[in-house]
Amino acid sequence: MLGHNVPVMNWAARMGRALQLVTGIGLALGEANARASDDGQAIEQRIRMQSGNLCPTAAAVAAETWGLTPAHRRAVLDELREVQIEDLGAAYRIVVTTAKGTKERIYQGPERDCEKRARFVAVFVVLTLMPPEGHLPDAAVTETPSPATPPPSPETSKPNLVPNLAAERLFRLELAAMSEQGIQLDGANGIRYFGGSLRALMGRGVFTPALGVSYAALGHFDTGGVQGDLARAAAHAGLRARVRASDWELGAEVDAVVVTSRATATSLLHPTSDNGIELGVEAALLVALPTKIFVQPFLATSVRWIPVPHGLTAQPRGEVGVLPHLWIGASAGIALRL
Amino acid sequence: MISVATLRRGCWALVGTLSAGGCGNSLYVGSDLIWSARHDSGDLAEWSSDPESLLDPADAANIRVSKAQVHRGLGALSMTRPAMSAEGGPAIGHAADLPDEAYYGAWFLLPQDYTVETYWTVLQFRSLEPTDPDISGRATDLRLRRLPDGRFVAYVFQHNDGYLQAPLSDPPPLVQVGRWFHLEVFFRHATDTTGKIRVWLDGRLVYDLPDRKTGVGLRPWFGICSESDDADAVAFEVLADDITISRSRATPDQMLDLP
Repeated sequence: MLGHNVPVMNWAARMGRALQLVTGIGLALGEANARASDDGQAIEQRIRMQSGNLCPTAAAVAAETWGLTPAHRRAVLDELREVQIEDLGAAYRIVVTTAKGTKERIYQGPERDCEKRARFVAVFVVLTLMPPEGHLPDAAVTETPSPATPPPSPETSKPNLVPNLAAERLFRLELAAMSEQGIQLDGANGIRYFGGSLRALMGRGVFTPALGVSYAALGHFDTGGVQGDLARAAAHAGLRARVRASDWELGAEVDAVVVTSRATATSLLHPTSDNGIELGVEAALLVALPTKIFVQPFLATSVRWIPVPHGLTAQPRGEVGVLPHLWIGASAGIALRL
Repeated sequence: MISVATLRRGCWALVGTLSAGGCGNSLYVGSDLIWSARHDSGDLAEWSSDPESLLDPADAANIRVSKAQVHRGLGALSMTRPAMSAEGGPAIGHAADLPDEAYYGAWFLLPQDYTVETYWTVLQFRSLEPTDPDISGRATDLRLRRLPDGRFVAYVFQHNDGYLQAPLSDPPPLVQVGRWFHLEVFFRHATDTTGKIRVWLDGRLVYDLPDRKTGVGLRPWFGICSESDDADAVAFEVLADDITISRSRATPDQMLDLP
């Protein structure tokens, strides 16, 4: 019932989309671009090569950058203070400094295709200046090559901030051990029980539909002098919101719940069992520990409200108690990202 | 504002499509009934299954099932003390498989305002297999005494010189003619002073009589009766229905119909 990965923007996809967009614009404005060679030279002057090897060259990067920048947005190039490129042989480092800060990446490029490197550096510069959705992710993710611009192999530069590969998985299964305590309220009787739950989520967005089931057979009640056992199975359907805060992944979920209960007296002369269904709503808060593997531990707490709970009756007394309206639960488990 | 009743109706409507199990209904978890008599069959079959139900076979002439006035169901037990000069009256009871302690309950109706001058016993406990063959086995009566205003007060009388009539509770437990009332007794049968008697009238505890000898024999016998010491030409009829013997209290929300 918990835990989630923060939805992470697919960096490679963004780069690909941005590249296609700006490439189209760049081709259309190619002629104008040539006429603006003076401006390209201004960019080139802000490019610093940090080693003797020049792959890519500052001129190639400047030309690509100018070409990739839409004509009506070229004023943003004024914010570019410096581009440092260090040719490391089989890889190359890019450090882009703007008025807003510094971004750094290291990419693998063992084939030393200088034209490709120049294009990729330019894409990085343009996206640093014009983030597709307001900002550039702090970390690199898997670079998915686009047909137009096959990128170099990625390398993680800041591992502690890199979202997991598994975070991109579409399905999430959560297994948990749980305990629920019914709260004495409005004449209801308190009950505690233990069990397990299984929940499935599908999607990558902030809001994810969630379906789940739970079962607990270890519940006991003691009400009105009647003792007994209570087994409860519940089906959940709802929506989960997932965010990332600091080093934790947080989730909040609201569900509609259908609960089937089976109560069996243990203290009566002629005990029997009976089943019934309750409807309710549940809200849960979840916290998960980010991991790089497909298994992720989580903790959750929940509150469930049953507007019309079952009563418990026995002969000859009649109603001996009422199941609680309000249940508070806690669970701990693991999430499998598939 | 949404009322509980509205929620309940909505809940029922939703769940009706999901299951016949119901929503918010009560879960029936079992029974503490040892024996009961509801008289819905129109005869005394529930009583006659116990061979010790009639301690005096002659009482059968004055015991029947009436369908004219019932507490619930199809019939009620009618006990009529005929016009007679001797002390006593008909009684019918149950003794099979009774534990030493249990809750005994019954609904009663006094159909007419009889001018009872002495007492009117409507519920009693006796002892079977008395240790002294010369004693009657009578143990404890739950009696009514008529007040000047026509109402009756209920009290406990023990056939034991050490106890006899228990002091009336305050406020006094009053019953009215023409209205069903429920008497429930917790009775612990004991030939020593570990016995106990507690009485509830319509769910209210009216007598609590601990630490006393309550029996003179080996087994308890619980009976419904219409006994008096009035030497009068008038017959006294009392109706009783939904009679229970159980291991736990039946009141205040007695449930005899299975959900």
